[in-house]
Amino acid sequence: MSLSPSTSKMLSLKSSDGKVLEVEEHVAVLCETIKSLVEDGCADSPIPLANVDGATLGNVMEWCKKHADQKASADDLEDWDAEFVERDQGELYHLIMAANYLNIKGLLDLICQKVADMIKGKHPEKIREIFNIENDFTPEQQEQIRKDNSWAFE
Amino acid sequence: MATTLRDMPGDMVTNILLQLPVKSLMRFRCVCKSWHALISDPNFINTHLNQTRVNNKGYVLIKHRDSDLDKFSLRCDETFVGQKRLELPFKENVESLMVEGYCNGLLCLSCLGNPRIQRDLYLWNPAIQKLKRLPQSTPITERFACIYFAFGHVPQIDDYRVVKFVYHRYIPCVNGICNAALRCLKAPPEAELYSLRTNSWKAIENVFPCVIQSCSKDPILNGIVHWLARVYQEGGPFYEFVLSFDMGNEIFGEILFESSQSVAVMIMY
Repeated sequence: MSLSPSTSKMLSLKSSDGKVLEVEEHVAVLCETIKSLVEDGCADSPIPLANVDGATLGNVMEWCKKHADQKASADDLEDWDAEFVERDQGELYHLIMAANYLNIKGLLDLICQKVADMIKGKHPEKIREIFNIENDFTPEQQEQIRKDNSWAFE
Repeated sequence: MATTLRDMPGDMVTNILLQLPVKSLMRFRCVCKSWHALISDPNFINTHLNQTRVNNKGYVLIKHRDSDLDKFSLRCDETFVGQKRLELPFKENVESLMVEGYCNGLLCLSCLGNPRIQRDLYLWNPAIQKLKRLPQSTPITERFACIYFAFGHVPQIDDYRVVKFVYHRYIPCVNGICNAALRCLKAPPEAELYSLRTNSWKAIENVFPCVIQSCSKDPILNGIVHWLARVYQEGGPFYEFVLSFDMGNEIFGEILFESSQSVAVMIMY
């Protein structure tokens, strides 16, 4: 059952892989990028979103729909968000890129916080592996930084 | 190959790092040179600080008096649990330790120096366990002197500054008459200003000739210090007012009250 007004205007969004998604306008405008298009009268149907694939777009709109729901309480949203971010690294990556492209600050912060929670206790070596970073410090430089902040390695 | 976090562009990595606790950030400084530069960057640090403030992750700092050493601990400001003991990174004269001010998670501490009329100043950042001893200001030569410090941040120039007010030959009140008041009629207090950016002290010119009664211990707003102060007129009564000093442009100001009003407590908000 939809809680939104039945009169809400629908927008068509077209993903990078050609999938078209019908979304209520009051949900889609949580994306600042789409909101400016609508406000400028440029929201021709369907709106092409060249940087977002269909699966990710579906996930993003699921989040927007929940957060556009006026009846959802703050506690409810928090629990729902906690479940929403339980995803693998690949999906989190795509969500961050999409939230950035579509300019949805709430979603971007949420996913970045999730990734931060995943990595915060890890060893620098593990971090290099996760983000594919080459260690460009000499062993001496590395040792000096460790020494200066030894408490952070306890 | 499936996409992973390995493909994340730099500006998105910044967004993720901004959500990390300080301890992780200090550890991740040795990941690579670009992360080290980013995490040490003043803009990054300010953004991280503001974000922490918005997210309401506040702490209450408690100064304990143990048998012979003063110790600090941190507690979450909502639940008052999660106590974390903080060891001061120095042990000399700890019994004389005073908190002169605090701002943006930094504490300005003072303790007796050598000779003991001096007070040594420290800036302490408990979150990263860094302590900086400030360079000496002009030494105090008189046996009796009264020193006031104020510490704050000047947002316009993003600098942390300390003001030092010294009344020489200060003798505590005798028979209700403050001797500093009599001195002040002839010689105004000396004042100096420390800048963290230049890591140096300089004299403040044209110090307002008045006697400071008390300084608000609340955080200093927009780099402006407020003291409750008095001006004594020779042979006449004193008047009370609030002396302000803008640590950014080094300008004094006064807030006068109607003659019948006196001030007992001053709270900044």
